[in-house]
Amino acid sequence: MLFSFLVSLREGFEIALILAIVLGYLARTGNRRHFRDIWVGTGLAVALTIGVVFVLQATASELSGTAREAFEGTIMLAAAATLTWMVLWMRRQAVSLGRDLRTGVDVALARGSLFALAGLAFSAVIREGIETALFLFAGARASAGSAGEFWAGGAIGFAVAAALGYAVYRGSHLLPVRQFFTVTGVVVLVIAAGLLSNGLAELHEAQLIPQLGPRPWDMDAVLSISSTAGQFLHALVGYDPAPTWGQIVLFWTYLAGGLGVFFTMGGVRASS
Amino acid sequence: MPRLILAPALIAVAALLAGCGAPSGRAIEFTASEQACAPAAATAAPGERLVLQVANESKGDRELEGIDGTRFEEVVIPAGKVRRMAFTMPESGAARFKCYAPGGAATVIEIAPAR
Repeated sequence: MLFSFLVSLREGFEIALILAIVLGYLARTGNRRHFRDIWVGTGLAVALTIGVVFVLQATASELSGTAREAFEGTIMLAAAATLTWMVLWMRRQAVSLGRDLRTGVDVALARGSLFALAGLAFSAVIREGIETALFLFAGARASAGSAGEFWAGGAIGFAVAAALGYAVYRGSHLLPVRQFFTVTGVVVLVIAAGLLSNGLAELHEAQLIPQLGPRPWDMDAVLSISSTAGQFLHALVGYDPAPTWGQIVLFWTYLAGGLGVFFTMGGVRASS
Repeated sequence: MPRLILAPALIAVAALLAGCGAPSGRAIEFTASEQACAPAAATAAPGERLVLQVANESKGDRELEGIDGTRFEEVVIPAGKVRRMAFTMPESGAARFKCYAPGGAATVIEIAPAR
């Protein structure tokens, strides 16, 4: 039960964090009426996840290790690109808001932007959803005796993740608007940098790209990748106890570049 | 109201992150070579807490992953590295893993319940 709880909590929390940021952004810009579009994106992804898992179960087939890694790696890179777009798009909106930013804003969302935000919710859910669902199905099948308990653990994990997401959403209201934009922007860029690093590692495991250089250090004895904390940090910020030089350089180049662009866009400073 | 929700949430996350550190339990040692992973069989008591220690002596990365419903997530063991991973035996039945080079042949490792 603890196992399924931790898996669904970890994967669910990442989904919840992204949704909380997107919903928080819409709320702060006077676009609550568009919450529905985000939930439609989320609902579609949940439906598609259930569909895919159902087909795989019904045909008793499994994604082979290599195919799964290729799928995960590709979708991680796509997610990193989408998140980058999101954070810079939000920043540009903030720039155009000027001094109104201090009190709250009302931004008209173009149809295309809204579609993209719903797509972002969709991609966040589908990315973690299929992997987690397959994993839970495999685990529940193993021992019929404790299957109920196993599913309960998974359900509670998702429920706690949702509660944490709600806490982030509510908590974000405590921040003044400009801090909200800055903090969420930086958080999203860090998540995206981790996805970039993880995505490349997955593509290497899928043998689609060569290994990106030697591994200069190994921190597994300090923080094991198989520990609960290691797994959480791996999912959230791309923690790897022994990353390759390629992963290290890409992570920091992306993060430094992203933060550089983010802060030089400087809308918030212009408003003060 | 937000503080009421935030405080327990933060405590929950902190508690989870605090549960890190080195895995504890009886260690079962495996070695990954160019050809295979060995040994392919071991025994443990039902519910026993184990540390699966894999030394990768091959020139490429190896992965260890639970199969047939064994609740163990995939871990990469980079070439030349050792990984120590916590695992708790199921209350009934054997635990099965595959140890493999990405895209290559896999060794199936079975930890049978001790009688």
